[in-house]
Amino acid sequence: MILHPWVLGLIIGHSALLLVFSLGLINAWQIYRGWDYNSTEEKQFLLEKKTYLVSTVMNFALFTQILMLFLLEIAADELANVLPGAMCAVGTLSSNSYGFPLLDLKILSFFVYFIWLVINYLDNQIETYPLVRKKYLGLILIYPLAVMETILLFMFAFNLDPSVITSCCGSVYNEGAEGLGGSLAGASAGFILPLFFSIVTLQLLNRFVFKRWSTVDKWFGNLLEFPLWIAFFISAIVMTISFISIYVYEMLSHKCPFCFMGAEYYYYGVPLYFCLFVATATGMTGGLLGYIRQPSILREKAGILRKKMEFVSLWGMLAFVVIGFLPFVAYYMKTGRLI
Amino acid sequence: MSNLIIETINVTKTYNPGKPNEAIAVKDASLQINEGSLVVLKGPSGSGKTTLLSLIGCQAKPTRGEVIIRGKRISKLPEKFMNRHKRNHIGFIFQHFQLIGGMSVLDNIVLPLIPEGISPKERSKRADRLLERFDLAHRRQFKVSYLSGGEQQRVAIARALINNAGILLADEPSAHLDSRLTSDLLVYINQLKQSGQTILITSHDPIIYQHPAVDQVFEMKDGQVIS
Amino acid sequence: MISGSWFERQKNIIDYSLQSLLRRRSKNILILIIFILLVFAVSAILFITGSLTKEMMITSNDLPDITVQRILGGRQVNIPASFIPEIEKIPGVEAVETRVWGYFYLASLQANFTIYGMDLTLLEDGEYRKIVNWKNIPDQAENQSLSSRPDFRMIIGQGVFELLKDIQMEKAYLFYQPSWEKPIPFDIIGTFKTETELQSNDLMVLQTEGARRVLELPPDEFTDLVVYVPNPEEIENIALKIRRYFPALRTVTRAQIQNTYASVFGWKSAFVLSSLLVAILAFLILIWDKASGLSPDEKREIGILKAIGWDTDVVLSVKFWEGFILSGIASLAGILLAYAYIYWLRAPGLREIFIGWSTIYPSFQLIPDVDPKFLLLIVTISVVPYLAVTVFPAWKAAITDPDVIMRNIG
Repeated sequence: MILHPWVLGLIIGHSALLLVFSLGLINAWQIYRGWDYNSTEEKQFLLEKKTYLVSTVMNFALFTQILMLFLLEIAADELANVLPGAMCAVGTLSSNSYGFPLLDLKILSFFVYFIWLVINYLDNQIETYPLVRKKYLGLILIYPLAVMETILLFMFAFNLDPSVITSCCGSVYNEGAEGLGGSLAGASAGFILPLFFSIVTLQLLNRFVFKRWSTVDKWFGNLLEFPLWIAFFISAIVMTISFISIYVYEMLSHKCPFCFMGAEYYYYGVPLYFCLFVATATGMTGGLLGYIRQPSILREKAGILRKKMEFVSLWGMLAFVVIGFLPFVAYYMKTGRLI
Repeated sequence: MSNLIIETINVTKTYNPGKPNEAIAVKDASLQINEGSLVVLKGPSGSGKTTLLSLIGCQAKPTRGEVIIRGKRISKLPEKFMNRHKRNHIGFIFQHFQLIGGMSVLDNIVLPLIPEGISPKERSKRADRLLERFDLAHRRQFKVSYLSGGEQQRVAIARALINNAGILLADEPSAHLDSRLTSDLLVYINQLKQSGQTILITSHDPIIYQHPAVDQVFEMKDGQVIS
Repeated sequence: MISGSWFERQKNIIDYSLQSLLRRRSKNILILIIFILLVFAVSAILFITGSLTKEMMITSNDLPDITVQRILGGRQVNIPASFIPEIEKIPGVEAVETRVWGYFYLASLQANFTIYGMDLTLLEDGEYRKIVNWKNIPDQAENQSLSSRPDFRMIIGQGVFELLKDIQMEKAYLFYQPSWEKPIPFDIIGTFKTETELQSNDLMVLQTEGARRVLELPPDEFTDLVVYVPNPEEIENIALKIRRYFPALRTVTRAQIQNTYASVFGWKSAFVLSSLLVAILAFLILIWDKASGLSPDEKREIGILKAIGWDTDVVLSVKFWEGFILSGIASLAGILLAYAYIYWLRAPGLREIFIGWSTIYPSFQLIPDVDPKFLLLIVTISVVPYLAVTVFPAWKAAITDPDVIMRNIG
């Protein structure tokens, strides 16, 4: 199964990513060990130059990771043609125990790379590169993620077996089904909608109200933002599966989060997920930037960057809500019914 | 009125330190240059004047010592910040002009403006002013490889001035010129000084360092400033 | 110096990168050509696989949901009618139909034909009438002698017709097996038109009763059964039930057939792709090598840029955009060439490799299947590795010190 063109594409993309990342890792380690800002030796100048290499590596990594996310989804969709029982990406991903973990790890990696790149950008704005050692240490800690992803990918590809029948989204995202899929689908509208909107409200409160109270802001508001965005992402995904999908497919039992990425549904999933991912990524990063306190020049620059992140994440969140509820509104206007 | 615009404090530059081919190009050089003055660094070849000029011009970092341009210590700065300072304050004219042969005169002149995000229209506007001033308007679209030595020299000067830097550094500017072109050059240099530019030139040509407009002459020998 | 926006900056850089590529045309042209050829090869393979799969899916949609056959001693044998009511009982089954068909080997011509039994009168009316070139219509005056034998009529495909013409049997054909007492004559009342060539070329459609005689099928038995299941999600379940209730029976679902073809096309393309991998790897090494060594000219140029104040960042951007533009153009050109090759020229050479080995449905129509998905895959296989290989060399170039132009003569 490993020789299927889409699988080959995934493997090539990932190998490129891992190889380049490994190059970055070696240099990150050297910088972490040997960095001495006050030195005027050749060695320090070389290390300075190496920072550009690592930045380029991580830019490449993020770019490739985003590409791979798309590729995985499409590949899973295409592979569904050769795996019995699978009718869309879900079938492929659930055909062995590595599919979904791979997807989850990819999503996590995307966020992690993004955050690292923003911190890197921030650090580079200040003459003394105050976060140098922390950020390269961070990189060294991120590297295992990439290794694990590649291993998972190979395991996934090797274990694809056209002779084993796998399930389709109808049975995975089914309230009666066991496992995560079932629980996601089973989350009733009455549960998830209030949860989602209370998180959104909390976000807005945090943004516009809490920040005005400086004491609350200092201890509460800032700290809250980062975890809030994680909660936002998770609840948004649950809501997509258990609520939004129903109105896209206009079928109570079809709750697949992948099928609506395709042409038959006008690629609806693409803007939806785009907004979600962008909003979450910028929101999380903005929240993290709020944790930076020392030194003061760093806090200042972080503040400016944070404002930009907040702007983007707010609009992204809004766009997500609008796009997400469009099918619901359309359905209601068409049929006058709620379901 | 006179304030220090360039200052070097015990600047030393060692190439390949610790290796068999170790070379000390500049040793403990200390200079002070006032704004608006025309200064010449003279000395035989190998005396380290080009190296000192490149240290002042933010083209290299000193092994020891400080270089201070417009009050900012640039020697310890990471490349990015040093470059920014360089772009804002310094224009450099290289010994061999160092133009990009396959590009037109216009493109060569506006080269420093590209990473600044200046639009093509704005770039043309600024360049045209300089092309007029240095009598190069008729050569605007010509590839520089087709230009004469004197014309290339003027292109190099125009390029150094495109970013409105207050400091002009020139490395042996008359090295490839005959005496007539050299006097033309001196006319330009004088004009520039009159308009408030600070100019530092390295040269071993007496026509240059004996010119009446020159405010200060430093002599270098074996890497050290001896006067 | 007033600075422009980020967009203007990027625009300027991209513009410069383009210019820079054009200035060094001769160096880049070789790389471009090889790159285009590689992308062309990969794209051609992907396109042809995609088209064949798509066409296969379309044609196979006419296949029955479940085909049921009886197996005895590991081989397919006739299936008795008694199974039919039992299968019909299974919930979800809409209908069970019978089929009479087989192969007939004509020794004298060394040709194998497919015999299919059906009621020919169904073809005489309605839309199917026009797929047949009717000849020797039995009810017409001059062919009175034929009207008495309606069970022994047949309609044949063009390929059969040509062969029979060679042995002067184009009006009637005599089926014969050594075990028979005497040959069975069949009147040929029509031929299938050439539009149906793909399916009908070697086909002989006989009146059902006559077919039974030729295929020696006992009265209550059939070659196989065909099961119609309206709900596609039920198909696998029902097939499973049939196999469980009747261990002597074997089922083949449409999905299984489609999967098999899809995976055959898949591995064929992968096979050819893998042989390309060596070429691709060699190309990447070539790129690395070329990119790593900076010509003195290039080194000088970068030195100049650094000396007049360009950041390492900016030079890296330029190198990146150079790579991106080069690989982007090469990819696009390769894809367009592949498109023209497959869909315009009909893939001479490659077609034989793929279709020649295919056992059923030799298709001569290659339906253009330009899915944007393919483009993403091709970009991943071409642009990403190219950029990966040029990351390090680009950086090495970008960190050139301005010193370089200060100290030596160049």
